[in-house]
Amino acid sequence: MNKQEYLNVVRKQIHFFLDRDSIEEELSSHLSESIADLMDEGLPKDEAEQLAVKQMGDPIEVGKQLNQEHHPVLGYLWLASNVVLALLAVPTIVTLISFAYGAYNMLTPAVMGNAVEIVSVNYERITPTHRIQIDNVCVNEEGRYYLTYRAWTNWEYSRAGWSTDSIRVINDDGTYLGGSSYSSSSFLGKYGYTSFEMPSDGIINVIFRDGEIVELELEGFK
Amino acid sequence: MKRERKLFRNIIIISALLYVFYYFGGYYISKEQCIKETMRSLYVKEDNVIMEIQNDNAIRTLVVDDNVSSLSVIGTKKVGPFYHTASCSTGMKMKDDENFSIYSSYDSANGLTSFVYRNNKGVAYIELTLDNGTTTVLDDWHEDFAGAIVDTDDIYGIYRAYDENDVLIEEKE
Repeated sequence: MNKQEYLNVVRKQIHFFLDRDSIEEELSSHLSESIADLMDEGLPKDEAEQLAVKQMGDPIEVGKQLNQEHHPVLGYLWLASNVVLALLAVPTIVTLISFAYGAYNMLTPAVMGNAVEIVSVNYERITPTHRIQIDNVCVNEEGRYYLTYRAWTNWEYSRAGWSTDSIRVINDDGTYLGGSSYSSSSFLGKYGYTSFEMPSDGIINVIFRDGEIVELELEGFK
Repeated sequence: MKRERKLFRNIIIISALLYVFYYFGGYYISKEQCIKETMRSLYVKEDNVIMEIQNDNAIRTLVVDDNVSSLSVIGTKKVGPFYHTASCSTGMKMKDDENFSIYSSYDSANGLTSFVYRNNKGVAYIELTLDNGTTTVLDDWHEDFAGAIVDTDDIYGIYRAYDENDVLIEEKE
């Protein structure tokens, strides 16, 4: 049996395929050193190779021993964990991008994209589910009024993630003065607006999802 | 780094990532906790719960709004080994001029959730026969409401109301 035949038999005993090359390389190096030593002692190359291989021992036994030392089960578990990590990389990257976009929105006062007039309100109220920041009154080209807000999610209260209207503007009789919508929603919370009709006195009643009604006096709209 | 350490590091990272997705994705191990937090996020008070029905995969809770003029059905669905908030139906108007009223909703995970309300106290039970032949009897009354979750994609059928002598009172599609 020559060196390469010996190495091939040993390789077949290694169950974790990713270890085969490194084990063969290590064993090959060791055999080469033995062959060189034997040739230095005066043996011809062929005899030196055969003797070195013989001194190494039964290739099946050596292979089995090396296989045990390298823990094939551990090798496959490590490989599987790398595959799972690779699979998780895509949703993780998408989530991080979404988080960054959501953070950008949530850290910037909410405004309507087509607003021709923006007046700051800067009102904050904490409800059990959200910390709500009413940012601005925006007026669009058609003269419609929108109250823009950010609603930061309180994860400790509920992480069920249901989207409901955070605020609406109501009339004295409790009816809504306009619709509501979200322009963005993320882990951090929601970034939205609610339309309303501006009363002549500039005072509006805002109802929060927990039922609390707050009167807001909008400076500049009296 | 030794392979054991690499494996340990990978397991830690995978566990952390899965926990983040589980937590912020709104997933729950317990369907009871899932329905509880869903109700909290919708500001549904315990007092407003009329009845709850459940099977292995879901809980569907019928709640009445504070002004008692509309009903909502909220619930859970099973996603793999976890539970998540299922689609909910809100704003269903109460009717009081019929022998019985139907409040049904459908989601792809759970199938058909059907609640009925009997205005006529003579209605003893209501039999729901879907177009696919499935028959479900609704007779477990809670404040004159009864309900069932039917695992089906076929949501069309006939509701037949019977009195205690099995005499048909009314049927509706």
